[in-house]
Amino acid sequence: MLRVFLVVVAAIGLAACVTTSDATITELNRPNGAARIVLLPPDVQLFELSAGGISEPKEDWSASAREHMTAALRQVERERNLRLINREDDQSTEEQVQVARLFRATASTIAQHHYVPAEQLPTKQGRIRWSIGSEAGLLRREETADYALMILLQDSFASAGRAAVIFLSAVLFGVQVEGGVQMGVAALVDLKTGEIVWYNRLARSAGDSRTAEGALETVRVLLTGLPQ
Amino acid sequence: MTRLFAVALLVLLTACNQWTLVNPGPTNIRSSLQLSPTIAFNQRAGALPAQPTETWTLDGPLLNRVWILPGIPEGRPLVVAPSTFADPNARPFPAIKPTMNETEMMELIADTISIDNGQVALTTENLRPTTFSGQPGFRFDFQFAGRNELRYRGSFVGAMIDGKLFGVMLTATSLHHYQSLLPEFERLAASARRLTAAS
Amino acid sequence: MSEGRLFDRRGFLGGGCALCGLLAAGCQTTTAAGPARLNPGERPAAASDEASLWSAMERAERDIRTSAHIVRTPEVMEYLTGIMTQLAGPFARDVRLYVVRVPEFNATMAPNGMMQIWTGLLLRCSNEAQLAAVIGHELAHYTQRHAIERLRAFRSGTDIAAFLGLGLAVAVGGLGMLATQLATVGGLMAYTRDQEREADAVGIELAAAAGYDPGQGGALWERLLGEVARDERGDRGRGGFFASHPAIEERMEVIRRDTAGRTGETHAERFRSRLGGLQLALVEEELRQRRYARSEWLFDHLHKDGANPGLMLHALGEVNRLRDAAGDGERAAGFYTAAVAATGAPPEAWRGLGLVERRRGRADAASAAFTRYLALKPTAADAAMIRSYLS
Ligand SMILES: [Zn+2]
Repeated sequence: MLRVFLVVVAAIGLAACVTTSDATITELNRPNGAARIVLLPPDVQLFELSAGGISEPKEDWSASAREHMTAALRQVERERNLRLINREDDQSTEEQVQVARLFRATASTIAQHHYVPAEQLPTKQGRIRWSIGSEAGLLRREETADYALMILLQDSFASAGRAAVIFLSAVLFGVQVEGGVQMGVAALVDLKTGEIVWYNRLARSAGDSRTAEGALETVRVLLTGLPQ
Repeated sequence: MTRLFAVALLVLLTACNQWTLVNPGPTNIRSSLQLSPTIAFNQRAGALPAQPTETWTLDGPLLNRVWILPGIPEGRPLVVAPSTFADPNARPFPAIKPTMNETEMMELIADTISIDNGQVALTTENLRPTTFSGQPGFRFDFQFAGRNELRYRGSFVGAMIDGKLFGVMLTATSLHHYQSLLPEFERLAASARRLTAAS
Repeated sequence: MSEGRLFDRRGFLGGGCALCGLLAAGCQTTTAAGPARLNPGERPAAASDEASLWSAMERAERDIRTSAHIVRTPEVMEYLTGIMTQLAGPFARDVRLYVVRVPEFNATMAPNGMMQIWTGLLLRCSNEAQLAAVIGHELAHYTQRHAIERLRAFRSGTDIAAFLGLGLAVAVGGLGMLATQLATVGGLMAYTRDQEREADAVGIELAAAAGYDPGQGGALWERLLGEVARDERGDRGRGGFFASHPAIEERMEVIRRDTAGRTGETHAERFRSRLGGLQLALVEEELRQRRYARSEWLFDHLHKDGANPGLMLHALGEVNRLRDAAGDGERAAGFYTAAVAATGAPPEAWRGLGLVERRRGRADAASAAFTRYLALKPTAADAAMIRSYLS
């Protein structure tokens, strides 16, 4: 049931939009020109849809996509006059890990309760009003920063065998099966208040983060609508 | 295949208007319990008719939720359909017995939450006497780590009245949501009034 | 050992042995010639499909290390890891053991050498030799490279019915999923009957070579079958584990035949003493599942094995108290009374006794038991409530 539900959710998402961003602020705090943002390690997972029907995680693709994404973020950093502060997972305290997990759970909650019409919460009145609380500041360490940025991305591609199944299923069952899907979320949290001040969701059956150019395009699309 | 899409369509249709607004002020739950929130909540509507409880949330059930038990009668479990975290074979959940003491009611509630969250190890704390709807009742706190690795805290306040279990329970992430919702939860618990057919 | 439908949805910590009943159903064939077994210290060739699977599992393992659901008691982990190290011999440096808090009977092995044992399995072992049989079996899945063999069979795509099964939902539904959950998806495959048989055979020899009684694995299986037959939920209580292991009785036959007449150590005493305080937690996890008849049968057999008399009698008291059917109160009182007279009963046995005596209207006996409980455990979670019963 859950599985079916998710397929339906995806169908709505894919039909409706490529990206849809929403902000509670109009401009970023830029004390010395550049906006200072802690960049949480982008969570990038690439899959190959095999003919047998499994989404097989392709860690080699994922690893190179992570590198491409990081490089692409560096370029966008210059273009948009940001100062991105890289954060590595490994030295986090347990409490910092919990804050990051809450940020992540909040990001997926927004994807569900803001963007899926049937799941919308009336008290939110169609606006993005979520907070992770004042502990958000724990995401910042010794450095000064006003925000933290989270990026989640899943890219899936059809293998040659899978492509055959897609064709076959269309012929045999009249069923249209997606060949590959790119799903992503970018969320910006205010480290002082814990409020999610900007959020963007990406869902499309195009995009390819396996190459440098593809990753740059994906990052630009993901950061569409980020306040200036 | 066709069946799959029929199911998908059904889910899509029934999923409409999943959440309805609960305005501040007195509100009746299943004409057996009255609560008076001071802020607006979202209530999950159109739940299974057999489900004897109600769920409210502010930010989404993954982050915080108030669970309302409007008088569960003898022989009935607190949960009818297991959550997506639970083993689909988890049913039947343990059922209410009028002979239960407070420790056993706490065990019943805690075990139900544990099973429904995927058999998580749940710690209960500070079971103590209190009043609920003017009747002698009990309350306790608990914590557990979800299968999503987020830490949750919770509190239950309720009473067995005429063989039926009444109560309200807050479950929220240990970070931020539990503390931020606790004062409203205390007000909600204090506002509880059992409704009887005569009144 | 592996698992089935039951645990996929929860699938939070799956590894290679973690399977998907959905995909596995009707697909119990295997390729004729599998990959050659691993050599000690061997890693998959760079850029191979196997290397990719390993890295995905390594990412999952990073999350598992910080998981809230892992048993971390140093003495316990040191002891259990020692058993695995001894069995693994030359592979000792290639495998890692995690004990995961899930009150069900299962163990898994990921293709990269990450072994998971669930707490429900630990509870059900009567001795070290039984646990060794399980660990030996899981090690075999690793050395024989069963996961990659299975993945390649699936990838060849002969099973068209499965194609809509998971791929799509996973591709689109997984945003915000943890790497651990994703890794499960990578390990969505059931081992075949032949692979399970091979793991059984290799496991028996590993256990025997380490000096254990190799027949103990069969005894553990037999006990499990007896237990699930008592499940109130009938066949549903057997769960996915059995659904994905249709050949379980047949495998047991083979194990019995291959170990007949062989002897070795069981190390029952050592097993009990080294697990120490963890055992009360294991019992409480089982009680929490509210499958009274099944749990009662299990505790009764563990008690007959001589395991921790005080703890097992307490557990039997708890089952009867919680079920509270006709005659249960009296039986519970009997078990608690026997428990507190035996060695190893937790303070909670006094509380249990107080609760059932109070319900039976024996106020003095209840007060005496509660007083004893509060003296032994003044900071108990329900101390305030129990004190209110006394006043
Ligand atoms: Zn196995």
